Order: sequence, then C-alpha cells, then structure tokens
Amino acid sequence: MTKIAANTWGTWAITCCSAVLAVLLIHAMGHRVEPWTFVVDVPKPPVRGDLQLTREAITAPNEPDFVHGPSIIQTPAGLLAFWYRAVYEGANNAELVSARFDGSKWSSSKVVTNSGTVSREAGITIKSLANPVPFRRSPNEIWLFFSASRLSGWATCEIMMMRSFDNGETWGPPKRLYASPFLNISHLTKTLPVRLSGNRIALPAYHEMGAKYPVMLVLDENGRVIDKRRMGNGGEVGFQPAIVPTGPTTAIAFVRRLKSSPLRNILITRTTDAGLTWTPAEPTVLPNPSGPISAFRYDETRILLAFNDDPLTERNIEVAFSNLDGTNLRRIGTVAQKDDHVPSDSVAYPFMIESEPGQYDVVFSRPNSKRAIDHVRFSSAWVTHNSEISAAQK
Amino acid sequence: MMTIADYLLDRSSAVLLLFMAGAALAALIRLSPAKRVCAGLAAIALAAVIPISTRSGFEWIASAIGRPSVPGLVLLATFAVATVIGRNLNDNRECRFATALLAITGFILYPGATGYLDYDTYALGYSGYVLPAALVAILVHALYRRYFFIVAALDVAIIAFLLSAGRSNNLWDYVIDPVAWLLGIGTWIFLLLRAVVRRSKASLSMPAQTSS
Repeated sequence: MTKIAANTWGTWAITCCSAVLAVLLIHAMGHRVEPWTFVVDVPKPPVRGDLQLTREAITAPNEPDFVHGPSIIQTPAGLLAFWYRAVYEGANNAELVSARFDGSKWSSSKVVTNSGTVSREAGITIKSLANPVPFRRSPNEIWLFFSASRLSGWATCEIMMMRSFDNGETWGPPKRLYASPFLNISHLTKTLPVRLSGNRIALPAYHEMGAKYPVMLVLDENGRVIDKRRMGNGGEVGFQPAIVPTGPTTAIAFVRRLKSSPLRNILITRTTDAGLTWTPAEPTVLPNPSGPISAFRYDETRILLAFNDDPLTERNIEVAFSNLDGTNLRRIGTVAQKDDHVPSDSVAYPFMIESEPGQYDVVFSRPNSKRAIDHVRFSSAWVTHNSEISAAQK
Repeated sequence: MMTIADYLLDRSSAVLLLFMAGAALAALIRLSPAKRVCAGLAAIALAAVIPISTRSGFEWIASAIGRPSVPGLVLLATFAVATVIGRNLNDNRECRFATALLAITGFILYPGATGYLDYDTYALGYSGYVLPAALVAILVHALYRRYFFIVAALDVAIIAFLLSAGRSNNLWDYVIDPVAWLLGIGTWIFLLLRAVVRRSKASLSMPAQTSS
C-alpha cells in the first residue's frame, strides 16, 4: 500500500514538474532572441593623404615558419596586426602572433597564444590555430576570434574568442563558440564582424566539412552564439563571406568561390531581413581565384573592397568600388603585386580596414615563397585620384 | 576559466565509451561483473597511454566527441551499467523508445546542420515554438507510457537549458548529441538484424516441423 502511494506521488511529482518545465520552456523560447537590425556605419572620408602607397613588411626577413591569415585593428597606439604561424599550414603547435605599427615601423612579433595554451585553457586538445579576426568591442576592449582545429585539417575547426581589455596588451583565456550540433566542428572565421542592434554582433563564418557554405553567427554581448543563419540559400555556395550592411535590414556579402566551381568570379548574396534569409549566391563581374574578399562601407553610396583580381592565381591585390546592391563594380587600383622573379610567389588573404578617416590599411600574406606578412597603406586621395583615372578610362 | 564540472563533462562521453568497450569485450569472454569493471577501467587507462598523433588516445577521443547531452549521458551511463551487469536493454520498451527517438531526431538534425540539406534545422533550437512543442509532445507520450527515465532526462535537459548551464545557447545541444545518435542507430541496426536472423531461423525450422 505504501509502495503504491509512493509511486502515485512520484508520478504526480514528475508530471507536475514536467508540466511546469514545459510551460517555462515554451515561454522562454518564444521570447529568447529579440529581432535585430544592422548598425550602419556610414563614414564620410575626407579627401586627404598622399597619392603614393606606402608598403612595409610586417614579419622579419627570412621568417622560417609558414605565416598566413593576417588581420589588423586600429588602437590608440597605432595599428595592431595579427596572423598565425606554424611549421606548415595546419601543423601542431601553431601560434597566433601580433605586431604593432607606430606609423613608421612595425614592432617585432609577439605571441598572443599557441595551441598548447589554448588546449590547457579551453580544456580540450587543439592541434592548430588559424585566421585571427579582431573586433573592437569598446574603446579599450578587443575581441579576437580565431579558428582552432581539434583533430586534423581545417574541417575539424571550431571558432574561439579571446578578450583584451587593454587594447591588445594582454589577453584573457579562450572561449569556445558553439555553432554546430555535430561535435561543434567545421566552422571557421576570416572576415570582419558587423554590429547589430542590442549590443550584439554578426560574425561572418563558414562551414567547411562536406558542403562549404557561408554562415552568419549572431553573438550576444557576452560572445555567446544566440542565432545562426545560413547564407546563400542552400547548396554548396562558397565561403569566407564579407558582410557589408547597407541599411538597418539590408546587407550584401561578397563570397569567396569554391576551388571546384566552374564560375571563376566573386559571388554575392543579399539580405533584406537583417540576415535571417539570404538570396542564392550570384557571380559578379569581378574574378576570383578562390581567395577571400575584404570589404566595408566607404561612403553613403559605395563599398570599398580588396580582392585578388585574377580568376586563377593570387597574383595581385586590387581595390574596387561597389554600389550598395553590388550590381556596379569598378576597379580603382592595384595595391600589391606578386614578385614575378620569385617562383610561386603570391599575395593572398587581403584584410582591409579604414584605420582613420580617409586612411586605409591592407595586410596580406605571401605564404608560398617569401613566408611574409606585408602591409600597404593608402589614402582617400589615392582612392579618389585612381577612381577618376579609372572612370576616365571607362 | 574552465571549471572542474566542464572538464569532467567534456571527458564523460570518452570515459563511458571506452569503459563500455572494455566491459563489453570482457562480457564476450564471459568474465564476471567485477572483472568487466576492471576491463572497462583498463580500456580507459590504455587509451590514456597509447598516443594518437602527438597526444594520448584518450585526449584525442575526448577532443573528437566532446561532451554529451543530458539524454546522451543517461543513455551512455545506462548502457555502461547494463554491460557490466550483463542485462540486455534491447528488449526494454523504454530503452527501445529512447534509442528510436534519438536515431530519428538525429536524422532530422544532423544532415541539415552539416550542409547536406538546404535547410538548417539547428536554427530551430535558438528560438521559436517548433522544437519546444515537439519536446512537450515527447514528454506527454513518455509520461503516458510511464517512461520515467526519459522524462527525467528531458526534464534535466530543459532545466539546464533554461539556466544556460551549458556552453551552448541552443536547445538541440541539451537534448541530443552525435554519440547518443550513433548509439540509437546502432541499437536499432542490432534489433533489426536480430529480428531478421530470428525470422530466417524460424522459417528454416518450419519445414522440419511439418515433415515430422
């Protein structure tokens, strides 16, 4: 009798508990993610600066290791560049390194973290690191996103994030971003995040294993993934999207083509609902050797992008203008060219920012032969001058 | 920084899988439950000392499979105990329902989330009513059938999600994981194969009975 009573009470208890949890769950999921809009930064670049480009090597001459995936951010003390370094691409014990630019010369490199430290601090074994992407969160706070491979190959990567509260002098422990239910693998990052309303950000990412496609991750103010949107409307699309907001609910994204794709152009996908859905990727008129594109809003009507202007090889880095819907693209000028005297040289992975009003910085790698990270600075005067020449030629 | 709970949870799937493998091998050669426990622990120790690439096999497996969901952890622990005591869970209705549910749910979630379908069902776990409604339906059915292990596992998963106790903000990650999915598939492949073998044995024995 007592056993029957206990069973009945137990059944009622678990039924009531389940009912309450069901109600709480439905309520919570209904109000979990507030709709977001893009924060649109429209700079008005003054025409300023030299008509000449300035070029420096960031890495020391005769760098012994493979260096790749550079990126930069402006700090009060000047530019801060990041890249990854390993014996070879994807090797064990990779390092994320940084260097500072005071306006005239680059400092020697400093290790931000390495595979061993990330493994220890994240509590899982990490093989290699790649593609650091800095993001300015507040005047002193920088978030550094990067890809960390758990097993072998980039398809086993997950995205991690480190924070600095002193503009990159010191870094906190890495935090894992959860983007996939399948062992949380095969998501990487490469391009600049975009601000969203409610202090959230959109992190452009991509899926690597099996089907490659671009992804927009929505992160809350603590850097937790609170939504994930597939870009390009299904299928094998391309990867490494560069998202540029054009309005509160509109944006375009330039997408790196797949190596196997018969189309040898930069792809473009658009959204009109703040990134909830994206149009199928379409080819643009600009070629792409399957290299990443770097892009941001230049002024009220134009987007500035840096890309490899060749359908097959990363032989140069060109800067171009796009209108806000990506239907009119026009080359402005070449900012980097491979050294024809050096066999298998290439200029790869451009990453461009507007470091100050009317001042633009591009970093890129020479991964194959020179093992170097280089920097080019140009001004809005150079852009205007070359743009006029380009328009006249057209 | 990583907490001890995070550290242990990240390795719990690897520990239980290796333990189960060792204990199952010991069960195959009909060792006692105590020896099966020893074999399970030996399997974990062996994985910890055998290197894969530049790290131990145990760390490699733990890094590969990550942490389990709540139902996944319950299922792994239940299978591990069943292996030790030699109980066949495949004839248990609650276990069959749980493994079928995990297998079907995995087929709904993983192909889309890994790019093999054009729609990513993982997005349903961030917000909206579809996934919670499906979970409530499963809870109601499990309560009706008095499958209290399933109800308890789902209740704990929902509590963990509501408290944001895990690293993920997605409801899917609290109710299923790839290891649990594969265990569900494996269980049902075994059940189907066993049914086929039994049927063929029965059909072979039928003519003999009629002739006698």
